[in-house]
Amino acid sequence: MRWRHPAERSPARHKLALFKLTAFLSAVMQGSPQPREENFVFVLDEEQSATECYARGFALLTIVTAYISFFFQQLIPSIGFPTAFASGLAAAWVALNTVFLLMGVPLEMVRRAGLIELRQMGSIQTVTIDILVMLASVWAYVQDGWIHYAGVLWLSVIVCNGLAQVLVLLLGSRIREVEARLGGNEFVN
Amino acid sequence: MIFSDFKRRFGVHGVGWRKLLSWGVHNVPSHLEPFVIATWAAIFMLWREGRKGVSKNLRLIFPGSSEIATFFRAYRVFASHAWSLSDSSRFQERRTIPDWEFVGFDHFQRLIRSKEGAIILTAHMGNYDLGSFLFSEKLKRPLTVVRAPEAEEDTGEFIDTERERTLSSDIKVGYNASSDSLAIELIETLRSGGFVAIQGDLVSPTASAMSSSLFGKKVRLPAGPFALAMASRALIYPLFVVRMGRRSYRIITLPPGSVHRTGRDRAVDLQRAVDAWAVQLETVVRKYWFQWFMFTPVEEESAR
Repeated sequence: MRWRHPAERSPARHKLALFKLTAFLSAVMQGSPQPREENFVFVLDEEQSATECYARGFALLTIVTAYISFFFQQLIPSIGFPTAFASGLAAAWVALNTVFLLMGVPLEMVRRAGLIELRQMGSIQTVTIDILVMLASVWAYVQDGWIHYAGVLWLSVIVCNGLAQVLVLLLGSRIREVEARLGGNEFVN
Repeated sequence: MIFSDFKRRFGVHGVGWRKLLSWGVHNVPSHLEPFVIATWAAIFMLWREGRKGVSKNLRLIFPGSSEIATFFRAYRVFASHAWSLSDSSRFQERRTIPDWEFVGFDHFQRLIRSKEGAIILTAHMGNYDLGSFLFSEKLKRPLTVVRAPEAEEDTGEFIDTERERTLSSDIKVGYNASSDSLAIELIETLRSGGFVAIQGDLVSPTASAMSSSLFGKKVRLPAGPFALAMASRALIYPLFVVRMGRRSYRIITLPPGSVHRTGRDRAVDLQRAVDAWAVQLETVVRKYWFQWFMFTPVEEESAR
């Protein structure tokens, strides 16, 4: 098994409150960190965690696939669930690959007008996608059938993350203490 | 006219992709990056010449493997390359730094603590760009990266402009098309205590090469790095920057070596050094085959 550097599980490497809180609780439960070895450099960046990135990406793909599949079933009632799911997955894949291009063009125009900075574009894209999926979840929630539960699930995740965010704010100084204890960040200018 | 310009800009070596990548790192949310990379890797698999080159090299490493296995391995190489390009661009545009693990840390420390100039011998593997940019910035030591010029002139201009805009002035790029003037420049860099990074697995048309053996096949490897080491008396550090996962890299530094003239025939000493390098290259490529971004066949018969 690979040796884990203490900084690898630092809350500072997470962006979403649910992941940040989990990393904090895990670090508190594990107690004193192992001694640090020189031949590892772990960077503290809130988008550094691969687990969070992949979990978030695949959750998004799954929920968008579910919504599009249901929409296809409503559009063509004769198609079965497997066909609707396969076409929903393909459509969701295309949507997630093109959404940033579609939003990027008007954003680029706004940036060139001097209203936003280049560095803000990714954050605006993330917030916009999150809002669109949340609106789709509200739509799913008011539907009948299995899609209602998919909507409930996603809205529950949003509520849980909101509660976790409140806890993260309340535990602010303790989280920062843990982050300092776990180390990392050697390469940041 | 418009169509031919578009075709040139978005050809395999066109500047369009580079510009799109620089723009993309500011626009693609990081959790959508895996989907975008997977899709673009699949699109680049349409590049027949590159796919065939990678597949031929993979057959050297895995002789007797099936067509389908080779195809999926080639896709993995293309996907790794797309991730490496994206990581490099993220560093240039947003200063996003990955995690590092050092293998051969003692050799690496010796390299960076030495006041003498050194040759960093690497391969078209992992993220050689990111590694060189990052360490030159952190170490504040002049570094000249030797590479082949881009196939498209405007792609080369764009890359040079971006590098000047985003990176430390300690980094210089020497194009191996003009080998005579470059050799003098490199010796000067080494004598002033700087580093020279050279990729030792691809022979450019104008560079001198020597025959050696890789995976039991005859290949041509560049003789330039070893001739430079002989002329400057600098140590050669074989160093590979291998991508291990999302924002995670492994730097493998092998023991340094030197090239001395032992007799009247200079070629004998160079051949010995090239053969030793071929053994090191083979060991690393066998383990990290999915990071070997050689889009042209290395085997001498295939390359012709």
